Order: sequence, then C-alpha cells, then structure tokens
Amino acid sequence: MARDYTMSFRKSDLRKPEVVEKALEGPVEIVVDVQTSLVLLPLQRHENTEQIRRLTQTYLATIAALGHDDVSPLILGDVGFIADWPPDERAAFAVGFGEALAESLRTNDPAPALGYVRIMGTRRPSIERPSTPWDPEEHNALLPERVRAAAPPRR
Amino acid sequence: MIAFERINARNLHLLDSFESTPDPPHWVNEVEEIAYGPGAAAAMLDDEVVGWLIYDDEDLIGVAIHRPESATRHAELLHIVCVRYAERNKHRGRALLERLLPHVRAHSDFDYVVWLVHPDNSPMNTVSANVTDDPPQVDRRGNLLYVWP
Repeated sequence: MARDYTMSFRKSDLRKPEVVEKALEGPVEIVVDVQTSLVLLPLQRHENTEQIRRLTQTYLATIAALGHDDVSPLILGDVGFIADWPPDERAAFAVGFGEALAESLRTNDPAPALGYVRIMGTRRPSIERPSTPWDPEEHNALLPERVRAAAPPRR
Repeated sequence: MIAFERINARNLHLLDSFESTPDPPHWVNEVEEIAYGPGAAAAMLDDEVVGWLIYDDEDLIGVAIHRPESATRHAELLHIVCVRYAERNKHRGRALLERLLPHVRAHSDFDYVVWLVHPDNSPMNTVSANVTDDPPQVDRRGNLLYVWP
C-alpha cells in the first residue's frame, strides 16, 4: 500500500525545527526502530479524518437501512430523522449523502457531509413562508389575465 | 458578474456559512430559516423545488428557491430570494433580479415568474417595481405580488 508522507525522520530528529515545519505541510514518518514508526501530522487534519470516519459509519448504516421498512432511529445515529421518511426519499437522501461524503473524503474536510446531514435534518412537509404564504385562490385571482390564461407548461 | 450554481449534495454545506441577520424582523427570520434549512432540503428531495446559490464573481452572496405556483400551475413562483446579511445594501439588487428572473424562467416549465414581497421589505419592493411592467397587486395581508415579464 502506498504511503503518503511528506518526509521520513528518525526519532533522534524530533528536536529539529524542520520536522515540525514538514509535519505542518503533511504527515511525516518518525522511524522509531526497524518495526515501528510514528506519524506526526496537524491535529486538525487528524480530527478531520476521524470525523469523516464516523460519517462514513453513519453512511454505511444509512445504506444498510435502505432495504428495511422498520428501522430504529437509534441505529441510524445522526441521521435517525430519516427513519420515518418514505422509502424513495430515504433513497434520495442516501444518494446525496454519498456524494457529500465523497466530497469530504476528497478534500479531507468533514464540512460537506456534516452540512448535508444538518440541512437535510431540517426537512419539513411545507416550506411556506408564514408571513407571505402563497394562497392559490387569492393570488391567482390577482394575477394579470395574460398569466391566468397562459398556455399549459412549455415542457 | 452575477452567476448561479444549482444546490446539490456537494455544495449544500456552503449554506452553513451564511450568517443570520442580527435581531431580524420576523419576516426576515422566516426567510433565512427556510432558505438555509428546509427550503434547501426540499430542493434536494422534491423534483419541483429548485434551489440556486447566488454568486457575485467568486463571492457567495445568497440563495434563491423556486417552484411551480400551485393550483393553476401557469407560473413559476420565486419562493425565496435571500441575500446573506453581510452582502446586503451593496446596490446590486436590480442587477441580481434582472439576471435571476430569466434564469428561473429558463429552469421552469412556465412563461411567467411570480413572487410575493412583504410590505416592509423596501429594498426588494423597490427593485421588483423596477424590473416589472405591471404595478404590484396587494393581497389581503398587505404583501405585494409581482409578475415578470
């Protein structure tokens, strides 16, 4: 398996400023002995990877739940809100989750998948604006005649 | 230059960067809450709801959501146009609407675009009046109804 380290250092090099500088650019390998190495990398990068790993677990739980009618929200964890969604919407959610997660993996940034989950969790049956609701009967009557007489949809 | 990118699973999270208006009037709060949450979610799940991220050059400045007008289904309802708080009052509302309206029509099944504006939303009422030929109609709540073209 290919290893993607910026550089490799020995344990005795750890006091050299260069080690930290290189580690900030990307992971560096610290060779302890013939059989053991450590990895030095920015904490944020490590935390991002861990968060994406957890999101991947959630994604796999989502996929596994697709074939079941009755799924516990507990099994779905952070996406438990889809447990009572119609099957087609659950499937659409899973497709989008996969795309967002792929973007997170590509960039090593959990934001796309986290944002997708958060925003999809706000879904509700109506997106009507309470102060300016569209009332078909009232508002269609107010529309100019050319609109009310418009031809059916172009496509 | 105003440009649009359709909301999708890979860019949906960008809405998380949108700041809420401090101490907003209730009608602004409603728009922001829907635009940054359930409206965007609907654009992902409902084939008839379409959402766009709005850019000015490279800057992400807002979001728009539209859907067919219900009942007669002879027009597209521009349901939400929300410019993020930090990007308001930059005198580009008219340019934005002049770009957005044909864009919405081109991505709908209808020849007309209609939208409702709260009476206290002076900036949107001003630019709406500037880009439409018909005077707005006022509904029983006092909201103004615009039609384009």
